[in-house]
Amino acid sequence: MPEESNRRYAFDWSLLGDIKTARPNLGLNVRLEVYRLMQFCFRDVIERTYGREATDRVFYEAGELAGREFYKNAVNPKPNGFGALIAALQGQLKDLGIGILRVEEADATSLRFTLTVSEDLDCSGLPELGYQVCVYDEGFLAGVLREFTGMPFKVREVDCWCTGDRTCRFTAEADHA
Amino acid sequence: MPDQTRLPDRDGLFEEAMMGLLEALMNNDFSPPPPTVASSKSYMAVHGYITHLKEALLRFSKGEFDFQVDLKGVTAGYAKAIQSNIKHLAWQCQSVADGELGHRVDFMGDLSKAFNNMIESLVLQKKSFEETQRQMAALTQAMGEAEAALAKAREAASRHPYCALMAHPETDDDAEWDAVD
Repeated sequence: MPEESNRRYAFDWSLLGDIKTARPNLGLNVRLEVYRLMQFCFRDVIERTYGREATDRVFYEAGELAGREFYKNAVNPKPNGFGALIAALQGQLKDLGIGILRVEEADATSLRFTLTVSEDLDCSGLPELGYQVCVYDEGFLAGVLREFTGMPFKVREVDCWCTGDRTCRFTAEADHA
Repeated sequence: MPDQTRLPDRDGLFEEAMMGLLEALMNNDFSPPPPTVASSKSYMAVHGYITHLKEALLRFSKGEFDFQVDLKGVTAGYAKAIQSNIKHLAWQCQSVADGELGHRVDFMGDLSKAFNNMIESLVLQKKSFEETQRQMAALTQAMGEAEAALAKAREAASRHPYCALMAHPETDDDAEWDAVD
């Protein structure tokens, strides 16, 4: 592990670049297949290099970092309650084509939530594989919830398009450990 | 070319029996599997799947959407998607009941349309109510100010010698009349 001061790839929101200026003809959008091509090739190579567990951990942590940065930089104004957070996220995820976010259950006291994402960016339309693939999404939701509540969260996908479900379902709970 | 749609038995008896079982499974209520097939693992897997799915649909039809569907696969996936949407609508309705009117429901066809219309209507009614409240508050304040001004005027008038005289005629005397003049 390199020291923090010696790192080359520390994430910063500015790394998303000034796309509007730099792509006057092609614009902001790119086909979903291209995103999936990159993600699943990353997954392949990381698994071959570091194994399956490490791959899932890398994707979860990358998703968590993305979720935290997304909340800090893209969710404005900051919501004043869980309902407002969901309303803001629903709009953002829909507008960006990430997925259709819904809430099945929310317990604001114990900080336990059941969330679903339909037409998910990562998995909708994939073949039935018999296992859940949305590890990055798990991390992403955990990151958003962590930034919003100030507490670490554990998010787990229980249903996925790749297990035959049509909606991805996630359970989220505050990690009091 | 062999007929791919037929099960591989020559006289068709197996296929006929199997179709009969599946039809019964789909169309009858929760009947137990016939003893003749109870030892068949593959049949029992199908029987278990459809029975659990029927149980889920029965619970949903009663509004019991917390029923846990422990099935994978596309057919159960559709049932779970319905369950998920309804549970989301219930959560949305509770949020509205708690006073949050910033929610909207997307991509649920007529349900989205009706829910969003309801919210728009509630927002308009809330605005109208708040405007009425604002006008009432302004009116109450204006009335209070008018009453205060009137009381002040009465107080000032009551101190005028003429009013004092009119209010207390028994104190009538020449001196007071002189003061009025």
